[in-house]
Amino acid sequence: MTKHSVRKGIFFLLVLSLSPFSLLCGQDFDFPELNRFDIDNSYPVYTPDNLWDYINGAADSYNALGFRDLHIADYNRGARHSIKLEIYHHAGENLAFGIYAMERAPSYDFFKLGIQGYREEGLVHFLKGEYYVKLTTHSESKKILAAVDELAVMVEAMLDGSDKFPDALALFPGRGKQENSEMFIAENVMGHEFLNNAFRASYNIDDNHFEIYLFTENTDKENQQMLDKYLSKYKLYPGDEPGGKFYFEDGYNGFIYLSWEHGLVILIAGLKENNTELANEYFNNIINR
Amino acid sequence: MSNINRRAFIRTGAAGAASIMATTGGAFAMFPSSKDPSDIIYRTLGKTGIKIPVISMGVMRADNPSLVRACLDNGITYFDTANGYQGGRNEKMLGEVFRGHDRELITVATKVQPAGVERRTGQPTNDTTAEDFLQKFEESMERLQMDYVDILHLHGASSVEMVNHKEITALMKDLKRKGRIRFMGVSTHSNEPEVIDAMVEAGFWDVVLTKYNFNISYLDRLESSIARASEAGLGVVAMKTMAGGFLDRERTKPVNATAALRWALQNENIHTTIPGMTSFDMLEENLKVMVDIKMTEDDRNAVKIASSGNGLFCTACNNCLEKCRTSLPVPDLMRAYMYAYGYANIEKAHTLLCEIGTGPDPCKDCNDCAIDNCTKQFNIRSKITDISRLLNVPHEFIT
Repeated sequence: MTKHSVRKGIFFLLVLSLSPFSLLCGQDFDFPELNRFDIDNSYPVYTPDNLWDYINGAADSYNALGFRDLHIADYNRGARHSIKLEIYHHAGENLAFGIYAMERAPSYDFFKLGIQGYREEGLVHFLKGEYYVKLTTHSESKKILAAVDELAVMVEAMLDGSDKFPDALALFPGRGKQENSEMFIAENVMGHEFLNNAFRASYNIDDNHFEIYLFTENTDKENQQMLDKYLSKYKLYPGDEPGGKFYFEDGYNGFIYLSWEHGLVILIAGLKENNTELANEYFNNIINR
Repeated sequence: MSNINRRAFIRTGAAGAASIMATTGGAFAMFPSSKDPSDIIYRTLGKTGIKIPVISMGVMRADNPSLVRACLDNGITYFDTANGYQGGRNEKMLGEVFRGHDRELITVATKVQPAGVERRTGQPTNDTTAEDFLQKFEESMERLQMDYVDILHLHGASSVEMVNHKEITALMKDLKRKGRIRFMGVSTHSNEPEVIDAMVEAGFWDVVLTKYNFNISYLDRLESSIARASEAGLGVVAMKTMAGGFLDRERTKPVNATAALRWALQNENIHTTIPGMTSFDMLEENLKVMVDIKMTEDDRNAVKIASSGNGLFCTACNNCLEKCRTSLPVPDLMRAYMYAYGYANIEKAHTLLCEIGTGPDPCKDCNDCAIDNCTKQFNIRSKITDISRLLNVPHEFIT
């Protein structure tokens, strides 16, 4: 055994003694310089265990969507003007999209920054890869508001990750879809603990207001288990092979139209009774994409 | 009892068009636990005189109107939301559900967070204005589609100065006089004892919404303040009763919700609780407590187990800094510990330890540790000694 392999063995023993392990990663962040601003980054790095201390009850929603860590800095210009920068890191791009989408309102002023950003009075929020970034100021000075934009662009350029929405969103048909209504729900989809990991979009067509849920992230086996639980609750049983369309009344959520394909479960909720024609139109549209 | 009719279904081949075969199936009970409304345990929300079940709905994370309707159908009458939840969609959803509902039968509480409050100290700044507060309140009213809300909370107060903020409290009193709100409240997640004491002292507040669970390190102080508030006639609503919901970071070990709620309700000064509900299963569990708050032996054990684990993670309260004899940056060292043990990221822990520069045995000069005020009750010396050993491993073995 070489000296090197002995040392490596000792190291791995040390590593093994540091348990339990997870594959989660924190990240350190070098805050970018902003001309004429001083940076105060004396905040602690917040993690799932102490996020409550910073954002109170909202922490539950972040943690449910794989929150990993939060880095914060204040950019101060004199005593009067400051910009707060918060960088929320989540455990995956779908999860980061989930929290970003949960906090955006369809009426916001959206623009392209990373995947998407929006501007409201004194704030710029944007999403890039696994990062949800918030910049806020209470200043109404045009110079400071311009500095917020400048900082947002600098931060976006420094972050790794995709600048495209999750692929699944392209499956949602355009007809009747409410702009920016798409969401990612990691758990308790439609209030059912056995339905997880769905993208959702809202639709309005004539008198019909309904939601389409796409389960694209699960394996066939996971979908099988999920549908076994869901459908058997209403005395329905899917076959052993993926495939089938189901229409039933969910005791809590009204009439449900469900299509099951390889790697894809589509669920429509909110349509009125006996509206299989419209449901089929959407099923076919999604499946044929 | 809430009954639903189950419709029969169709199943066709994947390529086939759906056809419908509807028959009426047998009805089944949704929630047997609340079959008789007279079983529901009610308490009175202090001097407001509102009689409410001991279980209410924390709506914050719910985005399914069917879940809110299920709560209503099963006797829950108090709903807690806020201006900031889900970018306003939370209030909007409640507004839709309650439209046309008998307003007298429900109690709606919403919260408005004042702008410009310094997060670390809870102090108001020049940006903390009544104008901003009023604008957000009007926004909430529009979303809720209501003429009035029953309780308007000043959201997330953590300082005496916020409880006594002249402009905002004057505005809230004015809204109350005009009938836009029935009662004035404060919600508080940190520094709660001081906040509650200040509310009692001020004399004009009606309701406090406070964090309350078995895992709070300053429970005695908090319970004393809650008792004073209740004695003074304030309604007391408990939140965060699940103490974070999970016992582990990976969210694989949920807190026993029934036990946690029952534990909170053993305190008669708690008039209702607002567990956050996002599933029908959670609702069913909570409904069991709504009719039976007596703690079982299993409940007591569950609370005991849950409260014995302090977790791995420092809250960075910085209490330790003034106590450490050698002025070690303890929160940073605890962060390195968290990287190693919590994230299994040895490299990151090692890099951080190098940056901190306190060496492989920072506690060697002390025979005992002077830090006795850790919020998480960590054995600080043991953790520092443990993690600092990592510096004995050459960096090239780690990267």
